[in-house]
Formats: sequence, structure tokens, C-alpha cells
Amino acid sequence: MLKRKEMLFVDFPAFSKITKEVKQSNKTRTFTGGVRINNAMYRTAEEDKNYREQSLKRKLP
Amino acid sequence: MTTKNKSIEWVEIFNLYNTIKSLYALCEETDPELKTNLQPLNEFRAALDHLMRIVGIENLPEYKDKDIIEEARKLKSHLARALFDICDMLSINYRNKICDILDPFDIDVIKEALPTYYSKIKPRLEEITEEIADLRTNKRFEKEEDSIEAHYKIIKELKEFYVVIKKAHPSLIELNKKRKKSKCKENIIPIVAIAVAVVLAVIGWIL
Repeated sequence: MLKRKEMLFVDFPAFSKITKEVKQSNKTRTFTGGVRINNAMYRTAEEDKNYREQSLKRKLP
Repeated sequence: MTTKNKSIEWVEIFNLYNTIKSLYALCEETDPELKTNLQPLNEFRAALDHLMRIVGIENLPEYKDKDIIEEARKLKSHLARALFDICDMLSINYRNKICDILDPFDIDVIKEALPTYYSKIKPRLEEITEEIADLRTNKRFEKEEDSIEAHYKIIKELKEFYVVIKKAHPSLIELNKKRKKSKCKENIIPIVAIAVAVVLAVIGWIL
């Protein structure tokens, strides 16, 4: 087990990919101070990618 | 605990955080489904980690051999990345909002309600899309501060365009109504003329 001194200087790992399953699992938890997160008002990784692609494909009038 | 190191530019870090916070809220409010963007939270978590390292280095002897300036640089870097993520999404949101307002209207209606749209606003919106892409790949600036400033300026510009277009929305609606009415009149006149001609022909035939 890492000691306190070493632990402070270990970087966090990156967030794991947000999938539909992760979102479902998060819905069962309570995140204080995060209304949108509590209500699953965020996109999965795939939804985010689609939103960006569709938006950038859209032609300006 | 207080931070004592005077060589860390705390005011700059504080201002950067404040800017990010306001843009983060704006990003959520401009999202078409009011959804939040989770990616900046990852950067906030890392930034907090570096901030705690600075606190550790300044206040606890066991960390005195660590590089406090490097930790401050990394703290600012993570905040900058949060800003870039937010600006990226915000630019997409504003673009969508502008399209949503203008899509239902003809070119002529838009030209009349927004005289500068085709000459100034639209070309600049297209340029901005390219600029954001360039900034994401860090092609333009060596210094992070310049990149932060560039991102912020773009978002400010987009917001101004959106406000101008939003203010013109009632005019767009009114002009559209007038055009539909006059088109209707233009279509009715030939129909009435034909109907009158047919009636006269029938009367003539009867007589």
C-alpha cells in the first residue's frame, strides 16, 4: 500500500468511457451538488461524438 | 493553511478558474438538451490534485523536496484544458442555436432583418469553426496564455453574434409573415381572374 507521501504525487487515472451502462448505474446513486449528474443529464461518449458530428455537419443558413 | 509562495501567480489562476466556472454554466444552459459536459470535471479533479500538492509542499516538511513551481504550472495547465473543452462545446452549442433561429427563414427575410449576416456574420462563423479546430491541435500558439486568450475571445465573439441574431428573431418572424401574406395575394389574383373568366364564359354560353 502506498504511503501518504507517495499517494499525493500519484496522478489520477483518466475517466473511464461513459457508456449507457455506466449512466444507468449512476442513476441509482446520489451525487450531492450535481443536479444534472443526478438526473443523468449528460451524454455517453458515443452520444457526445454523435452530437459533435451532427452539429458540425449542419450548414449555416 | 495559507499558500505562501509568492512566485506562483495565484491571481492569474484564480481569474482563469472564475472564467471557466462562468463559461461552464453557460455551456450547460446553451446545450439543446441542457446537458452537462463531464470532460472538464476530469480536468478539475486533476487541478485540485495539483493544488493539494502545492499545499502539501508549502506546509508539510515531508514534501519540501518537491517542485512547487512545476505543480503550479500543471495546475494551470489542467484548468486551461478544462477551458478548451468547455469552449469547444460552447462553440458547437452557439452554432446550433444560431442555426435553430435562422433555419426556418428564407435568404431574403434574413437579409432584410440582419443586413450584416451574409456579408459579415456568416463568413466569420465559418472561420471560427476552423479556428477552434486549429486551437484544439495547438498549432497557433506556443504560450498557453495566448491560447487561453484566443479561446476566450472566440467565445465572446460567438456570444455577441448569437445575441444580435436572437434580437432580430421577432423581426424575422414579422417579415416572414408579411412575405407569406403578399405571396398569398399574388397567388389569389390569378385564381380569381381565372374564376371570373370561367363564370363570364358560362354566362355567355347560357345567353
